[in-house]
Amino acid sequence: MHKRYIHPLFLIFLLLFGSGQSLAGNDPLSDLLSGFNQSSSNQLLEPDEAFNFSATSTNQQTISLNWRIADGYYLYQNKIKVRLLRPTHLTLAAISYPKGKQKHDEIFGDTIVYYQHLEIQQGLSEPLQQTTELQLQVEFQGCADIGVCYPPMSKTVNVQLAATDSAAPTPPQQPLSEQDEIARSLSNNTLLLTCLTFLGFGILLSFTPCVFPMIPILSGIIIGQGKAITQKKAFNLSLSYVLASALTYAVFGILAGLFGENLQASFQNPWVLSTFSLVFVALALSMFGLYQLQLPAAIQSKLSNVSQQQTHGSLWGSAAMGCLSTLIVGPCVAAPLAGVLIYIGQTGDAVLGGMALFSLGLGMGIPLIIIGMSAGKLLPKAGHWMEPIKHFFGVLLLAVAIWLMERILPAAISLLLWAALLIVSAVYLGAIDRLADNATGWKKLAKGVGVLFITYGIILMLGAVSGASNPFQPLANLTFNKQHSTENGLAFQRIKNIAQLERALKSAEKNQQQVMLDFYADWCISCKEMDAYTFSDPRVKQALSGVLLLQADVTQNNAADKALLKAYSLIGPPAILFFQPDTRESSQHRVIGYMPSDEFLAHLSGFTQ
Amino acid sequence: MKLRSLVLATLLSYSLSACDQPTQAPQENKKISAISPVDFLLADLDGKPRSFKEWQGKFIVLNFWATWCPPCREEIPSFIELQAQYRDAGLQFIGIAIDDAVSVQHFAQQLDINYPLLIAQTQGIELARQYGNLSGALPFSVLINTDGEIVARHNGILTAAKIIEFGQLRKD
Repeated sequence: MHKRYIHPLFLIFLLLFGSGQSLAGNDPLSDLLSGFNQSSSNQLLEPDEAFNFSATSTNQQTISLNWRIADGYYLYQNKIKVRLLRPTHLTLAAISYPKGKQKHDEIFGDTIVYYQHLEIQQGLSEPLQQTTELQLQVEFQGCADIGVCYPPMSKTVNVQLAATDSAAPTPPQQPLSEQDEIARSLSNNTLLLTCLTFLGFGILLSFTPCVFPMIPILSGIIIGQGKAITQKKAFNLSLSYVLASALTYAVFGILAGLFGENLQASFQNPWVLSTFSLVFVALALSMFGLYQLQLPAAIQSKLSNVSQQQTHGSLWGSAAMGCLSTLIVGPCVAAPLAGVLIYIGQTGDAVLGGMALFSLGLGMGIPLIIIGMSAGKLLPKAGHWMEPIKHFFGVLLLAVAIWLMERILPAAISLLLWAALLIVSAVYLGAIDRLADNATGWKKLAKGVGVLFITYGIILMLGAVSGASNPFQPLANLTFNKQHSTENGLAFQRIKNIAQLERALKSAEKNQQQVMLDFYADWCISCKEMDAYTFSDPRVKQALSGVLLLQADVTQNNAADKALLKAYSLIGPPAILFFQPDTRESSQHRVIGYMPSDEFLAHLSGFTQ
Repeated sequence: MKLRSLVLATLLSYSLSACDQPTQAPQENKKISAISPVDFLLADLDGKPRSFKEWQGKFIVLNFWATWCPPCREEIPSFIELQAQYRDAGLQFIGIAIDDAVSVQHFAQQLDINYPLLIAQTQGIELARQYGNLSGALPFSVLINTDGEIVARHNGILTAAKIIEFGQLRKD
């Protein structure tokens, strides 16, 4: 099999002939040479735009299936098929179709078609006993008046159907895309890790001066108890103070998650990305001490007054104070907090947001608990040593800004930005200053880290000019065995038919091995891209080391190939399927189409965990 | 789109300056439709695998179609006629059916189709996409000249006049 790459010359070609248009799906060459009917070749809609499908539950125990059909497009009534995938014990009632338009076709005879809009009420054959989530597969097919037809489309939707008639209609459910499901499973798997990370951040944040106002408040509550206070009581008081504070953060997190859901889509927009990236830079500058962020003094002192009146030492009082002091301290840690909140807003996950910020609050509170128990004896002294921690957060915020811009900047530019961040931080760490003869251990450590940063920064710059795109492999293009490294993909075991596949899955079950099955064909460009870019990545190879790798070459498209594809209801390659050791396909992990190695790795980690 | 072409332009300059191995953002590549024909290997009605290379050097009309697509069925009789008239002038129709073998067989017998029909089933959608049919709509035809360059693509019914014009075909 020969490999087919897209040659840079071809890119020049596209640029010369207006790449913008060609990316939109038109062919600049034919437009130039033209003579062709432009209206029919240029303005064809993508299937989902032409036939915009959605499903909603109504309060009459039916599901409303809706199509918004673009002008000049139509759907065939007899091509609409609705199947109930889950739960299997229920059955669907027959559909009564609305009146459509008669269309005469020489071959198919008289058919009924729908223009503009179609709504079908799909009921169940018997009433529901309890609220149930239904999964429906809806197939449809349509054409356009200008004389083109679209291949049959299939959408899977999940709709919640209430048992009682009084149930309110639920909001429309867009078909769950594969990506959504992947994102969901990923965030579940990384939830613990995220919480631990945020706990760590919280502990670090507690070393910023921001937490200081909390110490006298907490100490005040505890000392206010008089001499009789036991260590246990002090611990309880501190704990309820810290928990309340953490819960307040959790509320912020949940809000960010809920609010962020709408933001998610716009996070691919260059303007939004640039704006947020600028916000991060501004927040970073505040961390470097260029200016201060805090609540207006008036509000601050009011809150402070209220909190002072709460000093009766009860657990509830302590909790109320925890909550109030969070509001006071919040703006001081606004910069890192905003970063965290935007990150959470991006995931659009309220649960994740709540838990992550709760962990952050707990982290910030742990030193407080220790201080509370010692009744102020362990109070750290404010001083210059706190500055580096703020600076650390500043650098972190700048990193987030670059990370955001990475999506829209050319790879080389973002590599240069990373290099700049590393090198400049290194200079601040004193990497190029001479160490004083009596330098402290900390100074030496800082210089050491700085030198590491500078070295990697320079490597990144080399990578940027050599055309690398991966910050973790900046020298990929400079290695001598380049040919080898890009073409040396994964070692797949070839399978030819279902019997062979079943045998391979059985053997994997014996070895308690997970399985990846790759459908490949010589004519499939995405498959070759996967080979050349993703499977050749050493990290991908590493991640797949314990997985049994199978490949079905369906180039021939013979009966056995078709049977294989059909067995997994696949359109064809590119498709990568994953199986658990019990031979069950983990269908939510299916990969259709090309996936860059970073994304693929993230995807894999969801599967192999 | 503007932005994307900017990104592409910058990527391009880097990939040229550094090396001619296009390791840059392959996910961009995915969206770009091919300028030179994509090779394929698909079974014909006898189950024999046929490669695109077999017809190289002719003026090729690659027609993506399906029996369930009325406009596709409508244009085929004119293709049959053209194929008969201009076979010696180097015109070659190739029908790629996004359909199953049984339906295609049945249809081919009815019309007595005189050019190769390849069975691509739903995979043909991906192949058509690689030839530049991003909407996925049928019929979709690609005109490839004798030098193996794609000279035109068309969604919808393709008229005989256009094929003759683009192929600069002459009856002897």
